[in-house]
Amino acid sequence: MRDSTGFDEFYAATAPRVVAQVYAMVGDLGEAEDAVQEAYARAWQRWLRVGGYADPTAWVRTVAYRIAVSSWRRARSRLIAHERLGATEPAGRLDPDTVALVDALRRITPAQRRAVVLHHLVGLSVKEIAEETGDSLSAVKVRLMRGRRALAPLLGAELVEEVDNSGR
Amino acid sequence: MDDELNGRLAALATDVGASVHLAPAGRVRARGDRHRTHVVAAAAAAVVALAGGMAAVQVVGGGDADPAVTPTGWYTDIPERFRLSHEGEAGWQRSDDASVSSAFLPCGADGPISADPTLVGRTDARTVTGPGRPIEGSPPARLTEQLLAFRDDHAASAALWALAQSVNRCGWSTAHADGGPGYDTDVLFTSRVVSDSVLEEASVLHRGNALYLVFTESGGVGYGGYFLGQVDVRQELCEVMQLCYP
Repeated sequence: MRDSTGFDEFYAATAPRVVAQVYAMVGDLGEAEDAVQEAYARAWQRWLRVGGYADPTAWVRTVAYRIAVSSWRRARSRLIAHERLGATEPAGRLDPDTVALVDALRRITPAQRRAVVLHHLVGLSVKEIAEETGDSLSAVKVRLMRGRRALAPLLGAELVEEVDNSGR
Repeated sequence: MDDELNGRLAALATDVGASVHLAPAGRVRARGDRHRTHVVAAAAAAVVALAGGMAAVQVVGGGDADPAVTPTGWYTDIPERFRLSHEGEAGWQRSDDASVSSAFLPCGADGPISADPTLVGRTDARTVTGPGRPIEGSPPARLTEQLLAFRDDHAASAALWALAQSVNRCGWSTAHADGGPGYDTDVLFTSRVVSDSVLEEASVLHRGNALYLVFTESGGVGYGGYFLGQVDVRQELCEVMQLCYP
């Protein structure tokens, strides 16, 4: 018997945060909301198993990201947005600083963006990012370094290179 | 830089968290239950078929044959009672030509990969073509649905991956499987923007010795109907051809 109360509490406590994480990774809030809700629906399907994971949020985030980057969905969303002749973000819904940050994130590669968000927003270590994304430790380190280097001028920030050899 | 980035991303999370529009948990669970219904129905149909003395086949994703599958269970001829999702609808034409070209050839007949990989090992085919159901006010779409049967699951798998290679060579979006754990993973989704007003999309679902293809040309907005079609056809594949997802 699946525990609907436990699922509802998990959803309420974590979904807004996961939307923010996926939004930062894919750059489209509507797409992030839709993908995250679909991911939670899939989590509920198999809640007996997923609910027992040490970190069910990681499962949901991974599934939501895969859904959001599906080529079919992205192509369709892009064309729908184009037909509406408007931006993909609802006007006035987000702080201008948030929109500017997401614009900057959009200018780095998807793999760098995912690594940067998982490290700096989600708070994962390099090793944990490698486990979540299926990449090697060295690949994650390179993506983090290059992502930060590319973001620094876009954010007007001073770049301090860090070489992280500990996996943290 | 790290502190700056951490701080700005934390502010983003706070901002988005306050602005996010999410359905209530009950509605999300209901959405999950609808998915689950399809899977359970398919599994139940497989059990019924097995009880009736037929060879039931389970297929898992992964791009190659499942060694647990019993080869004698394949339907190499598509049963007459099998129905594609649009079959029989007004304006739709059906063909039973077993040697028809694949509904989806990523490089076209004149491209760098012109051979049709779905002809290798193919034993039967059914094709229907007609107008798609427009979504979200989009212009009408032209849609082709096709079920191809092969001599075995290896042949079907080889055809799928040959199509995926062509996709990557000929200007389509990167081919990859959609869905999370527990879903079919042998599904190719791809699309390309032909012009400002035309989008082509294709999906290929592999299950056992069968491929289900949908090719759509839509006037400006993605069609998306093949998701609905796949729900119908997955059930047909299980109930009629005993190709059930566990």
